[in-house]
Amino acid sequence: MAGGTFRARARKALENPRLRRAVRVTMNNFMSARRAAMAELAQLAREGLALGDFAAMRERARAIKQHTLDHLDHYLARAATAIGERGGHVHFAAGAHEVGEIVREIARRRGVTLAVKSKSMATEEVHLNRALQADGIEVVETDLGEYIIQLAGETPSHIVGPAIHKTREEIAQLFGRVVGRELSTDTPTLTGVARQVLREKFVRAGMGISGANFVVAETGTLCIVTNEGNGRLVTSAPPVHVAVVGIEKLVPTLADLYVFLGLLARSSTGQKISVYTHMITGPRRPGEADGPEELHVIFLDAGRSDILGTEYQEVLHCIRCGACLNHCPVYRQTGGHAYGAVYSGPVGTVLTPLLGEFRDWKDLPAEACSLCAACWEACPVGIPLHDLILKHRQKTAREGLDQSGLGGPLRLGAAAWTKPWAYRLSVRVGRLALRWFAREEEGGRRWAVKAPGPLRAWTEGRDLPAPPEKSFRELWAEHLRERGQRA
Amino acid sequence: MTERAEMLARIARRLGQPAPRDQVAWDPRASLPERPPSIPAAELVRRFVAQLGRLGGKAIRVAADAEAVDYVLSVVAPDVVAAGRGIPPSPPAGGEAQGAAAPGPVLLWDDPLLTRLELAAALASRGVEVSVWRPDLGPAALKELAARARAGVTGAWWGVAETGSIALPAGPGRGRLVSLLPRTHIAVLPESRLVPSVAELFRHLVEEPDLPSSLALATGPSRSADIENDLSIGVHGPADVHVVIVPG
Ligand code: SF4
Repeated sequence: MAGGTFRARARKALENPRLRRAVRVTMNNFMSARRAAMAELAQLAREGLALGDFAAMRERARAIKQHTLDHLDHYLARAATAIGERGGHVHFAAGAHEVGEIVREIARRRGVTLAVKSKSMATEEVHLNRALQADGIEVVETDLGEYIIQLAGETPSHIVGPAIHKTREEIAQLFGRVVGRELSTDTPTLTGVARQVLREKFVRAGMGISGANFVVAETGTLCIVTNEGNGRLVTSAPPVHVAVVGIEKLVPTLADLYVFLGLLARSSTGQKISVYTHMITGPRRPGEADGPEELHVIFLDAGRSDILGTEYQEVLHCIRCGACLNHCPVYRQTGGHAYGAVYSGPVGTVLTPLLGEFRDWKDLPAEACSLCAACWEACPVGIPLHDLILKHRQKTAREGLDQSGLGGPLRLGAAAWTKPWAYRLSVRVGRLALRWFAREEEGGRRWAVKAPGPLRAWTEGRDLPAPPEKSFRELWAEHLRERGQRA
Repeated sequence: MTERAEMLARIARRLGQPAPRDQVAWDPRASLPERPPSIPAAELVRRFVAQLGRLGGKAIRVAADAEAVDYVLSVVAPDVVAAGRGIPPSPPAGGEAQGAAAPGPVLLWDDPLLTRLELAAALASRGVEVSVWRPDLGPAALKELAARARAGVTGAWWGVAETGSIALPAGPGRGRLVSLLPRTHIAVLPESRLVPSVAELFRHLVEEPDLPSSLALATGPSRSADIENDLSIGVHGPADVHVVIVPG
């Protein structure tokens, strides 16, 4: 697990104004582009050019995912058979260790010394790079954002924009170290350098490693979506292609794939479709002169099957579009690193405690969510993320894992509020206490930022406006008295 | 390592099944719009050209094969065209982004459509170095050629008016790297292969008895916004993308 608590990591992020600005600007760009794309989708639907508007597409996507997961045993077998029939090799991995073993074995057999990778959350999750580097294999991330953070030795801060937290000065320095000269910081120079350096890697690499956004069970087709084209290069240029794919990535047929392609780019960056949608059905065929001679598909479990058949199953619908991050009021303030795990934002808050040790990650659902449900509204596959976060909190309470110190006062409050007189008394006491500890802020408003005793745990994570002098009930009683009526 | 049977049994168990299921009922028809829309060809062309233009690519509809050849020539060898019109050659504008100024051959798919246009011969006769993707040249030589080429010229299986996308299948004469490594990519698309939407493209794909080993749906030039959200073109794939729509 990551070091420290969400609270500590979030505090660190909040003290970095540049990071917060970068995250906000990126998120706003994504969000406004998404809105425009959704309006355009509705127009297409009216012309009969799309299955439906966002609501209709999402309903269909949800139905497809639910059906596929409910019958995952069938579809996984079908996909494996189809891939095998096309000449691909299929492997199954229960966890990180097995993925590492499988890929290392292939690399050893083929004498691979350099592997190029396109962006893949699954390989990130199982720390595949480390496993290969242990064998002395050079592993190069080729997505521009991933390449930047690989050089910096950091982790992604956003599913779609992994390096949104880096400035061009920092990037120029990182690239400058690679080519051994000082670089100017303009975008064309920096991209030009990356193109040149990575081009040489693509041509030399003995192995290409990718994930897959979707796998079509019926045809055994892997679908990989990128904007830069590195996904196509990684899977076309080297003689061996290894795809590491979570078992939840399946869709039944090609027609079903259409629904997800219609939603993914629009939700993610607001594009109608990503620049490259690559569909791979087996390795190079007889007579072809490029494309991989060997194709390996590794289906990864790593905790996913434990989620099947539980009340959390819907989180496996996720297509990693990032929309829930962009819309989350917590993520928008802290960025991805505060979550301390591979998956951040609302989907990370749900998924991380499920894939790892619940106990280690229970502070994510407890603290990184305001239950506003903006994530659910944005999610193209309709995952009720806020509901699942609430389920995590219930689990924390049920299993006695809550250490916030709020349990006692809340139970006391709950008991008091069962009697009208006790309710009135508790509100009055609470109000007076909060007023007492509120302090003046600029603008003349008073805020209760830190209260002692039982109120402490509550006010620590929240700043409350100081309560007014009189409560509504008191004002109402006065009002009635003035009009000569009895309360 | 986990065995296939072991993994499938585990998943079935989690789903409350005694054993993995062989048969499942699923109707994929509900994933596509009910019926194809009818949009005149001229309107499809108009939309395709507009979409690709918006993304920074360029599409052009030509009335005859000869015009297609002229267009390709004007992209890959503007100096030759200018000289033909008696315009003196201008010094290349700075920066490696000038695809036409870059050295290297023009690499072509070995494809019936390009053969029909007699493109290779036409380019060669104007003094442009030309290579054709012939698998007998061997994978290593072809990879090296693609890495060196100033432009790649391919056909296209389908074009999508909604998005400005083209579908590029792999095959013996249809190298994947031709549309991937060179900085400039020119695709030739017969007008009859234009479909209105991604949905209609998939309506065709599901009819295919067998998908190619690689099918790339390419939509405009390669793009990235990974450096401070600043859009940059051509970080890995081609920066300069042209689609020539020909009769047929
Ligand atoms: S949970 Fe939904 S919104 Fe969030 S990344 Fe996954 S698919 Fe996108």
